[in-house]
Amino acid sequence: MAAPTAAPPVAPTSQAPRAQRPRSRTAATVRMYLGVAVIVLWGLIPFYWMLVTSLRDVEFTFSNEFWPTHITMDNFETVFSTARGNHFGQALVNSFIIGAATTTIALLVGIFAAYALANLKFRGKFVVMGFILGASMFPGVALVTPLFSLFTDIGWIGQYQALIIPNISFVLPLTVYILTAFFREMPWELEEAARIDGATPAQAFRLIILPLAAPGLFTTAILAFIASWNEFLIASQLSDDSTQPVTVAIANFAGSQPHQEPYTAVMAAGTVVTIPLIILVLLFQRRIVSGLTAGGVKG
Amino acid sequence: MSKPHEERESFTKNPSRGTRRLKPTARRQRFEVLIGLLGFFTVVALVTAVVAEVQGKPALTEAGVLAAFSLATYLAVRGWRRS
Repeated sequence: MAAPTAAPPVAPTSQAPRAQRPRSRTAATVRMYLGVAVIVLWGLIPFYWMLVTSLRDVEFTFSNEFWPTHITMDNFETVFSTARGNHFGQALVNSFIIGAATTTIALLVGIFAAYALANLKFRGKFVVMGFILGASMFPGVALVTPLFSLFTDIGWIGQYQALIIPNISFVLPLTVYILTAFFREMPWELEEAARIDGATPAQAFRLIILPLAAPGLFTTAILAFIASWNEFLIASQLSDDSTQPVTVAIANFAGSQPHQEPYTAVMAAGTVVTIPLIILVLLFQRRIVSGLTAGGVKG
Repeated sequence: MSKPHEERESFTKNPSRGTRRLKPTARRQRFEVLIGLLGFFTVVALVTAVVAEVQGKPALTEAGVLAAFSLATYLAVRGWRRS
């Protein structure tokens, strides 16, 4: 007797993946957004806590309330007040001067170096790349004492060039690496065409290559400026009251009482210092992303 | 002035084995980067050792570090020549 056989489950098995696919896709989307949310919260919570503390009354500095309570703007007034010997306004100007000078010089040198490394053929090109990589890996703390000794001897302590020149040496490898990756992806046929049309190498570089490289230049400039803006180690040793940048000024903040750390004022200063960077990144975020991803995929 | 082919494709594929090997040119380029990297630290170690010697300070550690970096650079150069 033949056993009753069930109809082959053709239809259900062929339909099952179709039914499951949207569900698995939804789960993947949920997982992705969950991951993004965790990363965003991880990055933003310290900034949020800084903002909340900066708006809090000094009496409630160590309050654990998550939401802003006892809101006051006194801390921001304290930050810009010079009554206790804090020179935050001057330090902001100093940071802008140091950052702008560092970025400009690093870009000027970096553009030509990156152009040569990306486009020209010469012996030892990759040795130069390795040399630059080595320079970028050199620990900054190892330079503090020799630089302090050197700049003391030549009378540069407390002058802008003592802060700008070491900053350039830190920022330049980053500049060259980002720009080299960007220049490698450039359509060099356009430069060739300009040369055929009678342009000199300098004209082709200035009129064809530089405008095309604008996104990469923007990215590099912003990253160089941020690196210079956040520099503390060298500046803490080589600056004085008249040239100290904001990072050093915040570390040297004096409170209303001796031996009292003015946490709320420090948080207010941190908020003020972060705002220009946030504005820069928000304004140029598209250019930053396009510049950073350039050279990431070989074509 | 398009880029040479070997600078764009770093790997050769072996379909029968499903493996990828570094192309000789890419291998040489990586050795060159390594030489540059080690060369930088060798120069730094040399300057440190010379300064210590000139100032009359004990320079055994500096000399040891310089010897180690010199050896590493030499090995990288030898690898580059053989690649």
